[in-house]
Amino acid sequence: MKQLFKDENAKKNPMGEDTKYSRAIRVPQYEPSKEKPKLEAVYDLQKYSKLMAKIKKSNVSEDEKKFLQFAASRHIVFNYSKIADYYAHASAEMQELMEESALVILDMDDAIANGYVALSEKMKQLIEEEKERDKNAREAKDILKKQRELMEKKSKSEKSPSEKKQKREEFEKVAEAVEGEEDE
Amino acid sequence: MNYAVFICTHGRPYTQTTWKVLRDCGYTGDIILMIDDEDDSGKDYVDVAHQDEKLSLHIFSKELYMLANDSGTDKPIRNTHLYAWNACENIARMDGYEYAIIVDDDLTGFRYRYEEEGHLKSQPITKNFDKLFEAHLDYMENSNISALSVADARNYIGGQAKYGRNMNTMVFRKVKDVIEWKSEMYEEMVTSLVAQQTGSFIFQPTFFQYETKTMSKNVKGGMEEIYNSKSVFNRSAYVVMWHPSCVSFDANNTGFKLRKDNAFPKLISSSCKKI
Repeated sequence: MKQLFKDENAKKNPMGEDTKYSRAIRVPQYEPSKEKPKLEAVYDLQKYSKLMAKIKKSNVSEDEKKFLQFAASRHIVFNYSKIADYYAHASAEMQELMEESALVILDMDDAIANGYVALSEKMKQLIEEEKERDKNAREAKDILKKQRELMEKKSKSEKSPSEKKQKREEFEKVAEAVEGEEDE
Repeated sequence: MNYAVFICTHGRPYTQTTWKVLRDCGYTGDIILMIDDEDDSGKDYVDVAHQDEKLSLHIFSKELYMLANDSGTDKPIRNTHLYAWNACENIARMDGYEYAIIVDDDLTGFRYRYEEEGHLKSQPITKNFDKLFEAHLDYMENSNISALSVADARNYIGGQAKYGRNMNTMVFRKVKDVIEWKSEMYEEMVTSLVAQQTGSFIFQPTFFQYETKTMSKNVKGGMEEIYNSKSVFNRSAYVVMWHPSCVSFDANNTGFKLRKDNAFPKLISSSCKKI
């Protein structure tokens, strides 16, 4: 699974990429290459080798050298894409050892990739519910606004101030009740 | 599903916003305010905790966590997130929660992010947070994900919602997958790297985002003072120190930026595994 909600009609820019927004979320599952990389290509020893050469030439004690050599391994750069490529073509025993060393993370039975689709469906549903609620609330407010305007027009034409006040209070009660329901 | 929200807070009994925002969004479950025993406003937090039946307060010993946790320096600072995050993990485990949602105290809102007619749109969340939480926790329950983090607005820049592999201000944690938070600065990044290079899987889906307020000088507490007292270079150096093979500084016109390359082991389908 490469993309969710892929918009097939999206416009392309000169590089052939979508210019329109499309929710091109990739489930973070790496697809190993069909080619097995050379083992030397999965790590980079440049900095490590420089450090090791310096340590060896140095005048520090043997124990200190040993410690520094361990520490130098922190500078070995692992190329995790190539490591995953290598894993896909390695023997069962090698794969086992690579997993133990956390050089790749296995998505057991594709639970992460498939679960993501299920999560995305649930989220779509929640978003729709929220949009519907928002729409209803806005409509209710519009109706209320129109009623208030009508009421004001009407109350201007009425004669008795006490009658006006009573009508006004009755309307405000109804408005409050409607607004209260929306807040809940 | 047995879970609770843990809010890491300090010195903001009445100005921390996360608790109320969670309730406004429809979250009805347990919330635990995590404060340390060096917080002068402890009594005020007790007062706050009485305002909500499902809100409780937990006070942890900072000294104890300072002794146990790796700050990455020989002169650790006291006001860092690190100890509170580890305390949340431990308390969640001890209280028997299967999942902990750990979050900062300065969130002001949440929004769904979705695609509609080729545009990235947003919709404020006003209800259903229980369902939203449970959907995410179900996803974790049925897979080997150790943590899911929540994106912020920056993750949606550039026309595509990008997933990430870092933890940040709001994290869903599977408690049984032990993760020890490390480093007094940029602990989210350092810990995400350490955890994933040793076998955990952390992922940031992009269905909703949190919002935070811009801190003003009048709002005290939190990490603001520390961030202001250390330069970006100084703070970033922690991450480089922990992970020299995959993190480096990138200098640009405005200063330094951290660059990560080859940082995370890849997630691959178990169908690649030979039997």
